[in-house]
Amino acid sequence: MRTKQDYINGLSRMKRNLYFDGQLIDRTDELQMRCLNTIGTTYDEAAKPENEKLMTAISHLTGERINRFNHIHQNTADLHNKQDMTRMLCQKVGGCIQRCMGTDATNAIYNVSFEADKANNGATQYHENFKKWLTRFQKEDLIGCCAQTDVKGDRMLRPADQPNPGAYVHIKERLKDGIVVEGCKVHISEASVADEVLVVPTRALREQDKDYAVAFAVPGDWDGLKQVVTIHNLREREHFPRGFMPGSTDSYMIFENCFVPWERVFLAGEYQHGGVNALLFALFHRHSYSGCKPAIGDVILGTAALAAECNNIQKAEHVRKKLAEIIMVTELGYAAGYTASDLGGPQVFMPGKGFVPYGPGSYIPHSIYCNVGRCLSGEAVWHESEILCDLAGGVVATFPHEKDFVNPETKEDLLKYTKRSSKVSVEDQAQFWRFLGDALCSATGGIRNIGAYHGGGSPIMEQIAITTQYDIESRKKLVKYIAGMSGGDREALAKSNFIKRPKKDK
Amino acid sequence: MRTKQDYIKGLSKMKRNLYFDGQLIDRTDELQMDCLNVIGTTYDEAAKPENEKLMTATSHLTGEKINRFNHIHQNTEDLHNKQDMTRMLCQKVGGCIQRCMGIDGTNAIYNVSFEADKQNKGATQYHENFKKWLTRFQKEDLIGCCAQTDVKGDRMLRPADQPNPGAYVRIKERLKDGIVVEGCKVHISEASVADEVLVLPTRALRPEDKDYAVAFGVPGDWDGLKQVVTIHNLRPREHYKRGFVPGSTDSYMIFDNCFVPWERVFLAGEHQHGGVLALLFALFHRHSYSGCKPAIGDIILGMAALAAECNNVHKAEHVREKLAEIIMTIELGYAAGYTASDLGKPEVYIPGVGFMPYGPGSYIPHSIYCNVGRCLSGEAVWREAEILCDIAGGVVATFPHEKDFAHPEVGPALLKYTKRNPKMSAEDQAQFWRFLGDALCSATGGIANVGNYHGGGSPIMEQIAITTQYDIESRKKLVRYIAGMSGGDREALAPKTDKKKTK
Repeated sequence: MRTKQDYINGLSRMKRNLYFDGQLIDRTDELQMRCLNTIGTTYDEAAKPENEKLMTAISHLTGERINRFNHIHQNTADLHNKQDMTRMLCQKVGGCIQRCMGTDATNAIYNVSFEADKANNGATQYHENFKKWLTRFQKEDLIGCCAQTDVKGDRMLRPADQPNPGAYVHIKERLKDGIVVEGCKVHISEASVADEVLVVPTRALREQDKDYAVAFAVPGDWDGLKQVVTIHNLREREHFPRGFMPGSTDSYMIFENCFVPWERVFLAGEYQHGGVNALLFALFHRHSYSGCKPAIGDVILGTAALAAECNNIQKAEHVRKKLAEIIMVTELGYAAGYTASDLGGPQVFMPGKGFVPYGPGSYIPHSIYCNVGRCLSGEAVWHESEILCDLAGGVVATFPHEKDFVNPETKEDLLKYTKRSSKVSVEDQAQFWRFLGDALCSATGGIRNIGAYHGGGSPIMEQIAITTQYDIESRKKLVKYIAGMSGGDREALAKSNFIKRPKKDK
Repeated sequence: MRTKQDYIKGLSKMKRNLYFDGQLIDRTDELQMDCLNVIGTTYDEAAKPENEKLMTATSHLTGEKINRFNHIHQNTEDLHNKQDMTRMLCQKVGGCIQRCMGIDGTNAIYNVSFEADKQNKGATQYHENFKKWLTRFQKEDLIGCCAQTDVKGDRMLRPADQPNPGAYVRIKERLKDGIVVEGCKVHISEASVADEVLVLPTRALRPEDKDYAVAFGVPGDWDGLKQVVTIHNLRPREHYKRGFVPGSTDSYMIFDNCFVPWERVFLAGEHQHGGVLALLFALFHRHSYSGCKPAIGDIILGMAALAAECNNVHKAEHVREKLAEIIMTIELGYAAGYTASDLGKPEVYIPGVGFMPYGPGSYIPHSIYCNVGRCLSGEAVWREAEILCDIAGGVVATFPHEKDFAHPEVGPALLKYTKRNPKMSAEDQAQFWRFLGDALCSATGGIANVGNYHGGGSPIMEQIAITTQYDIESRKKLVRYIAGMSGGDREALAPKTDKKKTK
C-alpha cells in the first residue's frame, strides 16, 4: 500500500487537462491541496496498526493486503467495515472523505460485467478485463472516482431522443481494438484528483439507447478527456486556523472522440445491464452514505451543542429537543446502513420476483435499507441548517473578519463584546463562530448542502427505488384479508423473501 | 428631497470610523458601492412622478413633501403605502431595500417619547427633542439605521446582572448637558452607510435595568463610536453581468465613553417605556417584512419557475405543488401585513387590558397580524432554499466559472453540455444558474438566509408576541361552554373582538 506522498507524486506526473476559471492547472496546484489532504487521510489512517481491521482487507484476487476502499465486499463483515470505516474517516475530516466513489463503482461493475458476460454466453470478456484492471488498481493502491451523472440535456427526453446526442455519454464508434466515446459527465466529485475514472450509465435504458449502455475506466488525464473543475475551498485563515481544513472538487468531464481500448471496456451495448449498473452503483453509494451522513450528523450535533453552549442556553428545553432530532436522523441513518450490511448477500432485488442471485458471489447491501437511510439523511439537510441557524442566532452572519480581531484598535472591544457564556473562553467562542460561519455562511457551505441533498441520488430517486422495490401489493393483500375484502391473503408477507437474517457464527 | 448622488457625497464627508478586516475604510469605499446602489434606489424611484403617491408623503411636521421612508404614519393609507412601497422596491433590487430600519425606528421613538414625557409630567422633553431631530431628518432626506440588538453576553442573565455591564448599551454617566453611553450593538444593518443611527433598547427591562432604558440618535461617525463592519457582496462578474448587483453591510457598533447631548436623547431611564420601545420598533419592523418578504418570495418564485423551465420540468406535477407552496407563503405574509395596515390605529395592545390609545395620534399596525406574517415568512426561509435546491438539481453547486465559458478550448463544449431545455438559449440557462448560485452557493446567500430567518426578530420572538398577545383565555372559555365544562362562556369572543375595522 502506498503513502499519501506517493499518491501526490503520482498525480504530479499526470498530463494537464484540468481547466479552472479559464486556466489550465496542475493536479497538485495549491488550490487542490485541501482536497488532497482530505483524500490523503485514507492513506495515513490505513497505515496505522490500530486501523488495520477497519481500513484494510485481503484481496480476493491476489491474497494481498489492500486498502479497503479498493476491495470487493466478500461478506457482511466487509459491508459493516466499509460503513464503519466511512463514518470514522468522515468524522476525522469533518465531512466527505471522497474515496467511496471508487469502492462503489468497482463493486458495481464487478457484478454487472459478470452478468453481462453470462448473458452474452462467452461472446464478451468484460469481467476478465475488469478483474485485470482491478488487480492493478488494488496493487498500486489507486484512487478511483465514478463518472455517472450525464448532463442529461432536456429532462423530458430519454438518451436516444435528445437533440444533442452527447447529452448522455455514448459509444460513437466501435473499432476493432476498442470504442470511441463522446459526451459529458457532470458533478464528478474528485475526478480532478483521481488516478482512474470509472464511467457508468446514469439511468435505465431502452433498446434504442443501447449505445448509452457503456462502462469503462480510463486514467483522469486520458487522451480525448478534458475536465472543467470547480474547487470548493473555505476562506483561508491567517490568524486563527481551523483544526482541519477540508477541500473538495467536482468536474465536468468532456469526452471528445475519446478512444477506449477493449481491455478497459466493461459494458458496451447491453442496455438492460446498463440500467442495472446505474442502479447498482447508486445502491453501493447509498450504502456509503450510511457511513458518511452519520459522521456529518456527528459534526452537526457537536456544532449545535457548542452553539448552545457558547450562548449558555444548553439547558433550555427547546435545545434538547433539537439535539434529539439531530441524533435521531444520525442514528436512524446509521441503523439503516447497518441493517443493509447485515442483510447483504450476492443478490439483487428484482421487482415482481423478489431477491435473485446476482454476480460472481460478492456481497451487495440490502436495497430498501440503503434507500430509506439515504432518503432520510438527504431530506434532513436543510432542516439541520435551520436548527444550526436557530440555535446560533444571527452571530454567524455578521461575525467580524479575522483581522479585526487582531487590529489593536478593535481587538479588545471585540473580545469583550463577543463573549457570551462565562464558561467558555472568548477566544474559543470566536473560533467556534468562525467554524459555524464556514458551514452556514460560505459558498462552500452552500455547495455542501446541495451535495448532501442530491449527492448519492436525490431524494426523489430514493423514493422511486423504495416504492418500486417495496412489496406494497402484499401489504394490500394483508389489509384486504383483515378488512374482510375479496382477494385478501393473511400469509402475503410470510411468503416474502424480503428479509432473510443471516446466521451469525460468533 | 435629495438625489442618490447627494447622499453619496454626504457620506464621503463623514469621518473614518469603519473597520473592515483590519483596515480603516471610507464610507464610499468600492466595497460599499453595491450597497449604496441598493439604498440609492430609494432616491431614484422617489423622484419618478409615477411613484409619487407610493414613495412620498406630506410631512405632518412641516407640510413639505418628503420621502415616505422618513414619514410618520398618519393613517391606515400610510401603512398600506409603506407596505406596498417596500414590496415594489425590494422587487427592483431583488432583496432587502435597506431603508426601513430608519422609518421603523423613527415611528417607534415618535410614539414612545410622547408617552414617556406624559408620564414624567413635563419633567422631560424627549418628544420635542425628537421632533426637532426628525424635522431635520425629513428636510435633509437622510438615511437612518436602527441600532437595537445588543451583544447580550450571557443569554441566561438580564442586563444589570451581566458580568460585562456593556453587554447591553447603557447610560454610564449623566451630565448636565447630556449622557455618556457605553456598550456594543451588533448586526446593525446598513449602519456603515447611514447618516444617522437611532439607538434603542432590545428587550423588556426591570427597574434595576433602568440605565439600559436609553434611546438616542447620533450621526454614524459620532465621537466615541467605532464600527466594525462586515460587507456582503456577491462575487464580481467579468463576462456575464447580472441585471442588478445588490450589496449590504452590518456593523458591530462600539460605544466607548460616547457623549450624547440631551437634545439627541429620547429616553433615559424609564425602564417600562424602554421595554415598550423595543417591542414597538420590532412591531413596525415586522410590518416592513410584510412588504419585503413577499418581494423576496416573488424573486424565489421566479427562480423556482425558471429553474423548472431550464430543466424543462415545468409541467411536472411536483413542480406545480412547490410553486403553490411558495405562493402561499408570499401571499399569506402579504395578507397579514395588509390586515395589520388596515386595522392600524394610534393604539397598542397591552396584555390583559387589550388595545389602549398610545402616542400622539400616529398610526401603529396591528400587532398580531404583523407577528403571524413575519413568523410564517421567517420560518419558510430554509424550506424555500430546499425547494430551489430540489427543483434545480446539483447544477448550481458545480457550475463552472465564468472564464471557463469564455475560454475557447472549453467554452463551446460547456454551452453544448449545459443546454437543457431546447426552447431556451444555452446562454440564458447558464446566466440563470449563475444567478441561482449567487443565492444558494455563496457566502452572501448563506448570510441572507440567516438574516431572513432571524432579522426583524427571530421566529421565537414572534411566537412569544403571538402567544402573549392572543386572547387564548377567551378561546378556552368558549370551548368550556361548548364542551359543557364549568366556567364556560358562549360570548367570550363575541362582544370584545381584538380586531376592529376602522373604516
